[in-house]
Amino acid sequence: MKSKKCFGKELSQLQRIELDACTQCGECLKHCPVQEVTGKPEISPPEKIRMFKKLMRETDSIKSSLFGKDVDPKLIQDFTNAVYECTVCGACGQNCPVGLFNQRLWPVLRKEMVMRGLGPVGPQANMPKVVKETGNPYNEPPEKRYSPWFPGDVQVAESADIAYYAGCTGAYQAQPMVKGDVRVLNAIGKPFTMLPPEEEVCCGFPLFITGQHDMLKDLTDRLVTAYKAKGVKTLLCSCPCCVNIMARDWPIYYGKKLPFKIRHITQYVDDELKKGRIKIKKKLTERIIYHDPCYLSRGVGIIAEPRSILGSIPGIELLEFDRHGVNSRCCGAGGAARKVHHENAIAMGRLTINEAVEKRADKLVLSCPACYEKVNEAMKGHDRKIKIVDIMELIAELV
Amino acid sequence: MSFFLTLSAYCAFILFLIRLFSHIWSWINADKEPASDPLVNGKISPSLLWNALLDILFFRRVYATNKLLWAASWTFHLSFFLVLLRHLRYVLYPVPGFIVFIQPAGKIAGYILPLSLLLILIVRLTGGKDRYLSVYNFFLVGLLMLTSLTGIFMSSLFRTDLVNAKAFVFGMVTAAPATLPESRLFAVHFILFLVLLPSLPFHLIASPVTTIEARKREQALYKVIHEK
Ligand code: SF4
Ligand code: SF4
Repeated sequence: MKSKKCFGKELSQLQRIELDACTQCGECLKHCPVQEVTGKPEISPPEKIRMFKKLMRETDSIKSSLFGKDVDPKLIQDFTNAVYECTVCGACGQNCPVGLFNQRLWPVLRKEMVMRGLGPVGPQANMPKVVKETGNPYNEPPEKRYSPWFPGDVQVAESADIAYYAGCTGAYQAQPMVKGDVRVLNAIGKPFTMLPPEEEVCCGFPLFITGQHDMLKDLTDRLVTAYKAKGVKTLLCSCPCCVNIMARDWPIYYGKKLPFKIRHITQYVDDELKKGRIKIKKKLTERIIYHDPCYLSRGVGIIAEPRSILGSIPGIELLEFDRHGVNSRCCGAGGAARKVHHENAIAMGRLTINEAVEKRADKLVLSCPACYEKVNEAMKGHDRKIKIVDIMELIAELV
Repeated sequence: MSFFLTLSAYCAFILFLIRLFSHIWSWINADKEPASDPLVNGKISPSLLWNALLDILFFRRVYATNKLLWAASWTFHLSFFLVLLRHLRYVLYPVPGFIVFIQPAGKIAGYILPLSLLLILIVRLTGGKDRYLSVYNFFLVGLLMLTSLTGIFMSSLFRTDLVNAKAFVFGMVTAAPATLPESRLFAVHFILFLVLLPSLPFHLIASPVTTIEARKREQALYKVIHEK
């Protein structure tokens, strides 16, 4: 296949250096959840890097300038499969002996494929159109964003210093989670505001992670302007992926510092618990295990706060997964790969369930809507059972 | 043969330089990371630099992931470095005192080098379900193994005339080609080195950069949304 465009143009300086820094040691394979469930080294991190470097050499080297940019179609196909089967959880980079930042490298390699019309794969390709039409990646009607789940007794202010962003996955696929969020916020008693359903559009993360970056600036501008108009000083959100793009990428798309702070809901609730504005009244004599979402722990360093909140529940015994904190294992929902490689996602979700059951936990506590949806789905038809609950869903029951 | 090897040596060196410059050129020409991304634009403090230096010198990140691989790869890199230093006596005149000083250590490193390579190979091939060995790494390990073994044979079993060897290599460096010593083993050792030179992996210069970046990122992680 003749290609006029050179691969590698989307990579930053550091990312180009990262490609050269990979020693192909293969240590990351031990930490990769996709490897764990598929056992396919041909889609592993060093293979992705090797294939992409080959694509770069075949289109952007002295040899390619002299003899033409001939690209092997099989190489393109193999690379596309590998880069889109990944959950972009970043565990490989976290455990990489030369410190590659793979949680950021893979989305850029996906963008490289999108720029050439070679990605994304499967239903992911529809996402920009669907987000444009409905404001969310699930093709759900915007007016149904907060209904019928929104609790009637929760007060939402017209404008306030604090705003809460529900997020598309939470609003459409993990309602018990966002219901728990707003009930806890309500119990704290400080006024908080939300955008009207048709204004609370996608944060951009599903587009970002699949390499489709065209709409990101527009979505960021719309949301930032809307919150700014409400006089918001702190924007709260419970979805790790939304929090990630808001804190790290919105300032880039917005072009300057955001006019408000981004906080994960556990930070806010933990603070309010410590200040005594909210109290956990009920006792819970149970063994619970908390799963760190990849984009919350590895992404923005929220590790202590959920544990501090759970630790303040009287009677509770808090267990840990073997891989926790920055080393946590992906639940299977990451990287929008679940939309294409459904069976991998289910198998990964079951690994999490199995470990929780083996550790004799009574409850598996999550704090991500995508994990919530996927792990619940993984439990269907699985021989091991455990009660799954979102952290705020649990706290809302106890305050 | 002397002419052929001399020409090949210049070609190998030119190839190495082309590869080196094209990689550095590709790095220089790429865009910098956006300044507002907190995770990739952390500050470099003296303590961060010190820790990163220890990471680089002692392969602390490898140690954290795989102790056996750490033992093998750190020993390999150190012995390879010492062997390279030892070989500088063939291209420098007069030979600096430091290079004379490390000669015994370089000789011992020459024996340790193939053993460390063997250990790397064993660690890689016995990785169980997650075993991974790329063709390129397999090729490099094989090449280094053969180069080091021919070197050991030359300095122990089948001694080569070192004066002639130095004259040949030094002549090449000073653009005054000399005759190849009468040793097939030397010719093989030298050819293997000529294959190795343009095949050297760039992680040698790229990984210290990514190791420093990883430190910066770890330090910045708890500031992304924790700032007051
Ligand atoms: S651990 Fe890092 S250096 Fe080793 S193969 Fe994986 S990405 Fe490459
Ligand atoms: S990001 Fe996660 S799923 Fe993707 S290669 Fe790395 S460890 Fe595997």
